[in-house]
Amino acid sequence: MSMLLQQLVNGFTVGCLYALLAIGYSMVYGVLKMVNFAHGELFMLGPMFALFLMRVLGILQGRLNMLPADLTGGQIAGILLLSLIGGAAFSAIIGVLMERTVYRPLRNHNASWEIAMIAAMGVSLALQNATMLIFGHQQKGFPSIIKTKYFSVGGASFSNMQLFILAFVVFLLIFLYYLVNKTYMGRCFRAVALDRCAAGLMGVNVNAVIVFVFILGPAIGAASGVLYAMTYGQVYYLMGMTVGMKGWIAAIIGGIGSIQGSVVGGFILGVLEVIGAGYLPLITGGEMGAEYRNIFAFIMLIVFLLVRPQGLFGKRGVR
Amino acid sequence: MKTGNKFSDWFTQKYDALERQPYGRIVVPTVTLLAFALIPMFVKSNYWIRVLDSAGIYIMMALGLNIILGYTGLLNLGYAAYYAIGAYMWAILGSPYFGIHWNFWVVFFLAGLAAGVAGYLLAIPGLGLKGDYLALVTIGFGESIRILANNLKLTNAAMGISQIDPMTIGPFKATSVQHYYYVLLVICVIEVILMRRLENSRIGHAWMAVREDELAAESMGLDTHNLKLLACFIGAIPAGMAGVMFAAMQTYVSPVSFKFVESITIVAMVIVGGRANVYGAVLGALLLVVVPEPLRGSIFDSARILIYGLLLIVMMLYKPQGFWPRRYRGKSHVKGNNGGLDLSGKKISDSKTSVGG
Amino acid sequence: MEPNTDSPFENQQTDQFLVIDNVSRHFGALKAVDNVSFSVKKGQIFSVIGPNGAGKTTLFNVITGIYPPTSGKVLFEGKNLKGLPAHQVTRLGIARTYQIVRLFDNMSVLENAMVGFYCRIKAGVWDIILNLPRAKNERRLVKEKGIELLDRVGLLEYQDYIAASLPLGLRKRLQIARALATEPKVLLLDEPTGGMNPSEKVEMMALIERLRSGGLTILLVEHDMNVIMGVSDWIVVLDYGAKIAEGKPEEIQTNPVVIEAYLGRGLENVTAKN
Repeated sequence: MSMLLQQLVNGFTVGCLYALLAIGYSMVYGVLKMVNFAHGELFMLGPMFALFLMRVLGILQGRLNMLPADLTGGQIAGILLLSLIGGAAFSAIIGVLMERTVYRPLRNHNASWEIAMIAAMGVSLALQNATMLIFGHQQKGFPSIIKTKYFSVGGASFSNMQLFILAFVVFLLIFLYYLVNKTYMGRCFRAVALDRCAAGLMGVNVNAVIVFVFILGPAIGAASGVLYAMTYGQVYYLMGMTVGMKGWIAAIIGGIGSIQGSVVGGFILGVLEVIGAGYLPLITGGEMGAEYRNIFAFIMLIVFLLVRPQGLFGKRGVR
Repeated sequence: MKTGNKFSDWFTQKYDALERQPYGRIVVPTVTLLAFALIPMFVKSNYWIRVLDSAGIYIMMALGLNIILGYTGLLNLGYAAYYAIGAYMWAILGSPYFGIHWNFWVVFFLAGLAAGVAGYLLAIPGLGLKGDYLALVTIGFGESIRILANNLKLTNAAMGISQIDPMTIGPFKATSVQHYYYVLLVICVIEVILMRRLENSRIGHAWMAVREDELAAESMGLDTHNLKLLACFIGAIPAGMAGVMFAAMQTYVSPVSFKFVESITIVAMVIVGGRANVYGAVLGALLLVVVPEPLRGSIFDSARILIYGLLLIVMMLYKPQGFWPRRYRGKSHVKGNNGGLDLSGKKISDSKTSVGG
Repeated sequence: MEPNTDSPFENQQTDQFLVIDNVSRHFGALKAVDNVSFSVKKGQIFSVIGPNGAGKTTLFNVITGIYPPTSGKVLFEGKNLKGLPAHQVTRLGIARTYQIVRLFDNMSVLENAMVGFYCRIKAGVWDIILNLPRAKNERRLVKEKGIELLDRVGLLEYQDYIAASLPLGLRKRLQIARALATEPKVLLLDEPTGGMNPSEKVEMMALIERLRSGGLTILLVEHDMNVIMGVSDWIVVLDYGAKIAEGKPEEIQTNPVVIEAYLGRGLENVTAKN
């Protein structure tokens, strides 16, 4: 029982990270009707850049990228902010560049979705490989920044890190809710998501909205990446590919284009994946272990696509 | 259809003109075939013959993917899975790992069939999905096969299977890269001929119609559902066979050869070479295997994927039809006509015809 | 089914050719087609007209099997089309064109025309791969038929051109040619003269007459009154998904219900407010 609770807690945390990623995918899909294949790379570049910043500023020491042990709370907070904001800003810049140099010309040529998707794949591969060339092949240690303390409730232990992630997600959701529903830009965003053409005719600066989405989406994704790196203690250039895929799946489960859906989808995927991976060894008598996590995610995807392709919150549209 | 690239246009115009001549259909392919057949006499380096062998295997696969992606327009990003199925079949059925040693050609065709069945099975749920969802599912399938191969005892997990039997023709065992070269040449020629026949037949045109406008194709009496299933079945077969050949040639298989990048590479071959065109697919495979070779060992080697990525981006922006696409006369007036479903045009009209006056 | 006592044809034919029997098509709460019934006689040019949004295209979609009727049935030559997918309906002999021309843009004009024949020939995968005589013969036959068809509609010189390069008028013609290739008995034309200038419209009207003389039954959705009055044998008028009138062209032209549907409602509302 306590194992189940523990898995729930872990799954929930992972789910938070997936949810953040899924929001990025959904936002871009909402306005462009296209899945940004390279979003996973934006997720990866956040912590990569944060790591780079910290090394350049001399904050990190040694090959394992450790923080000095004697930091004050204020310093820790500062480093945390630096990582989050630095990573987010960098990813946002790359995201905007991506949009300007690749996606916008394709949009202007009215390219079909498969061409856009292949171009996005190209961007993804290029970014992955470029990162590998610059930062190297190996996984790099990433400090957890927050001094991890564990609490125990009902036999399950969770850390202040997980609490922080949860708080971050909640804060972000409140912020997004306000942004999308109460501001002018939010209205423009919703208009463009409903009907890009008509929104343009109504005086909405569609390109500006798209740039806005390509700043916000990558930024959220990058922040998620930093949190992920803090939780699991490492970054590597392929991170975007593996985790990004999960974010995409979460977005589809929740209903791509819907922000609430992405969040719910992220949680569902996270919890089910952790529970599934945890119990797989038990079910299959040790034959299949936790490495099969990723297959689990794909199985979930297929099940969902068969049963409810528009996702939980998506609208039933003409397919 | 002018593609804006002078050399490419000149080349394909000359080729089309040649093809129109009564002897053109026979002369050009024969000459090319002879040229390829004579290569091992002039190129003495085993290394380069090995490269061409590898190209041959990719040609087999590019031709297969061309059916799924080029003609029918289904974006399959997990094609390497069928490749893996074929390779592991031979690794299991023709090596000391389990001590089984079946006949090479039996497994060759069996693997083709197995891959075809896998393609068919994947298509059954996949066909109900919109394009980008299908792409995701195919990625998932490809990755799942790789993860399975990486973890199952059946496939010796990450260590892979080695000492695989080489190809045998009757009592004769293939021992050199030249042997494989000639066999691959014959296989590729046969495959090209069969593919050309399919391309210019009712099935090929029907596939293209499904790609162009599925609704209109249905209205023309074409069973689009079965056509797509057929494409996924036939299209996967060459990959299974290529896998068997690969395993025999390399004598070692491991999950490393079947990563996602592999699938994308094959997709790039079809797209860069020229979509929906048999010769385009061959060209794409040759280009993407042979051209990077001189760069191996230099700093560009680790940047190979970066170059692929940039290549894909550039091609999509400037030549989405590839270097050698199917050619017709006249310039396309329809905006966004890049060889696929026009997202803005078709989707809007979909909603108009469903609820309209 | 409403008995139509005004119809002069009623006594002539007893076997029903194409019968729309109480067909409704709902999309959620929207009644796109609402209990529509009529009967098309063989060899007629039968027009379906009505203001925008009246449900004409939806009706076509139901007839051709794009989606099934929510209630009611469509009978063709006595056979119930219920549940049949669109390609089966076409194989039974009902072909259509679309309001917004849907061609196979990246294929040649000739290939577009040839595609229609493919549901009528028999060669299978093995025949094709092994280049058996059946495949070879059928390929030649289809090509000949395709060329003949293009010649009939006047597109022969464009046969090798990519379909996307044709101007709108020719695209519409190609669409019709392609539908004809399926060797239909009934042809549904959805706004064939949309976007055409007067002389093109006259050509289209002549083409429609020629098609009928060739033995086809034509079901026409149109907006241009001149075209409708010029070619139709019989007209059905829809409004808000329901049939409001039916009869010969002269009758419809003077029918007050029809006139009000097209013109009157707006005026009433304005005067009421004042």
